[in-house]
Amino acid sequence: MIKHHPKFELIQSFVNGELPASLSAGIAIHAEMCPKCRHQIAQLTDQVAEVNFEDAYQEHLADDDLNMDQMIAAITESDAIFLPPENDEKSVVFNNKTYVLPKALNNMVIGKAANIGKLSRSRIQLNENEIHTSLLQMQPGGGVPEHTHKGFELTLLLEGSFEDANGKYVKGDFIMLDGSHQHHPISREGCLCYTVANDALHFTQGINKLLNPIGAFIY
Amino acid sequence: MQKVKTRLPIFPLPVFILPGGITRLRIFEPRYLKMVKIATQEQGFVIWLNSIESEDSDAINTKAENPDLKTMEPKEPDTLWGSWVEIINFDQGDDGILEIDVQCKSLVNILSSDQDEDDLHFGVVSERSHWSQEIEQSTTDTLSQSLDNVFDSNTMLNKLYVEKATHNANWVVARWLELIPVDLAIKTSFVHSHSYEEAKGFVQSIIFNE
Amino acid sequence: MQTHLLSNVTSDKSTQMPEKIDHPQLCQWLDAVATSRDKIAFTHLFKFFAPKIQRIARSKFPNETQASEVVQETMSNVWRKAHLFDKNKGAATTWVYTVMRNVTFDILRKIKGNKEDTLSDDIWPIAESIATEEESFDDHLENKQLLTVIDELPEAQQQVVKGFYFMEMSQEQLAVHLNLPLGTIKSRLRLALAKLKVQLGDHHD
Repeated sequence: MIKHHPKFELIQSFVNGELPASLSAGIAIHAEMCPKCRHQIAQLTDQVAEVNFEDAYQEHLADDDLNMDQMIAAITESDAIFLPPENDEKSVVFNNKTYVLPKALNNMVIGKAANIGKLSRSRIQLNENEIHTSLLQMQPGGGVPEHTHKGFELTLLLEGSFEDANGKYVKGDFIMLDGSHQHHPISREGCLCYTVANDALHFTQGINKLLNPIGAFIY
Repeated sequence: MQKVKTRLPIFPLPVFILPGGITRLRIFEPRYLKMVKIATQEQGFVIWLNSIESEDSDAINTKAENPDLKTMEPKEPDTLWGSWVEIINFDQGDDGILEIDVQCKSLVNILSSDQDEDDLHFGVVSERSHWSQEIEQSTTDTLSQSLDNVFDSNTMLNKLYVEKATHNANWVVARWLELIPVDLAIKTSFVHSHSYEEAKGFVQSIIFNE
Repeated sequence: MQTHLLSNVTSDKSTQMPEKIDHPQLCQWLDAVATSRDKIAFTHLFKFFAPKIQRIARSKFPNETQASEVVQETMSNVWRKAHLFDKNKGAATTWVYTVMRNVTFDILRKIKGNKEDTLSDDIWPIAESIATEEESFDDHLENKQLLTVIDELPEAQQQVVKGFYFMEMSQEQLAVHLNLPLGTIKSRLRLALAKLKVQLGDHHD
């Protein structure tokens, strides 16, 4: 069962369209798997829409301000209607395992996989500067060494499960961590995650400190 | 109608196809490639849509656990039926996978079944008649015009049907029934329980709100 | 926290006394655009929404050209996508808001990231409302049963099954083909099925 959800402020910004594509997609993917959040988003969207289109100020824009008639004529000139594109499923392959990707990622460009040990990572090219978005596969028994983070780190489980000191995480769990968290996820059965982070990982423990150069690899 | 019993390979697939209907399938599992080989050398194969391959692979005897099936299929609940198809064309898809076009020549009752060493199902079947095969009633009604429009706007469908019997009322209703997005259990009720007239009424009420 | 927001909205309403939105009227106009490409209905929609969209867009884009691009794009999508609106799934305001939010998102991304991609419709699908709680009956009409069956199959089998071409139309395709709103298609399917059940009942007697 999904136990970890985006907090309300995040959902609010999502509905307002104020989050970067990386985080918006993360919430959309989670909502697809989580009826509770889906419901909350639907409710909130209704409210926000109502508030936005309620005319509190009785404004009357002069016609020439918007060139209303001209714009209407231009728009209605063509009778063409929009046909939704065929719903092609997009999938990725990591180490011979095929994963069907959530719809939200349909039009995103996914880079080649790079591998270190039991971890494989493909960058999703979203051009969001310091924010890095990736697909991360852990093969059974794989894990990310204990690390902390200067910025935020979103891990969304698309398939499989992993564990850390706080318990087990399953498909659909939306795990948002910030600099105050440390964790050390290990996946017994293997998993695929969608990850968004705005800074490289920082490994914190003993010999793992030597791994810090690969922190940038993982997230 | 003479009921000849024939042994044919069975392809469990949730595809609703009535006599005259054509659909394209992609085949890549070894046992079904083998099935295609047998089908081309012999007499086609049977598409069986009520299929769930259960873990004990006792598939043919397992009925879909669907409450609707019980309510929508009051008649002959124990008769297993399938669509007997012939391969009319084949090609290789862009990804190298074998694509076959099959046309349904009749519906069959599946009397018994077994599995070979490659887990391919075979069934002893006998033909059953269906309203979609009955003598054509000439038609030019709006249902058939509407179907013509579908062919015009859907390249894939248009290519599949080299000959379109849109003047044949039974053919038109059968094709519409295949195309309409309703539950397979409901479509199936037009094999067991419902007449041509009922099928026509059903299709019309969706297309024309009659 | 949600209640907190709700109360905010309510207090806004009571203090500013906004004009009440005539939801059935908006639905009717959208429906007229979808079914008969009604330009008069579209003009009504335009006059209702465009100034409000412009005000909202101005708060997000300092540049006046970009703000009117949002108006132009949003209203143009309303014209072209009206058939995707389903009044059974939500209010017209919610639908137009979604269209506007998606247009804004893509334009902002274009400006900030220099990316010409259109991700918004994948993230917030317009064709299908994200609200699916009350739809168990509608879902039921669709391929849900079939898909559950497929999901229960072993993986190799699933691939075979998913490898065939669905010759069946989707409800959306049927709606487009018949030039009717999706909501109408859904209600017709529902009625037709209800009728069929009555007939089956007769068979029993």
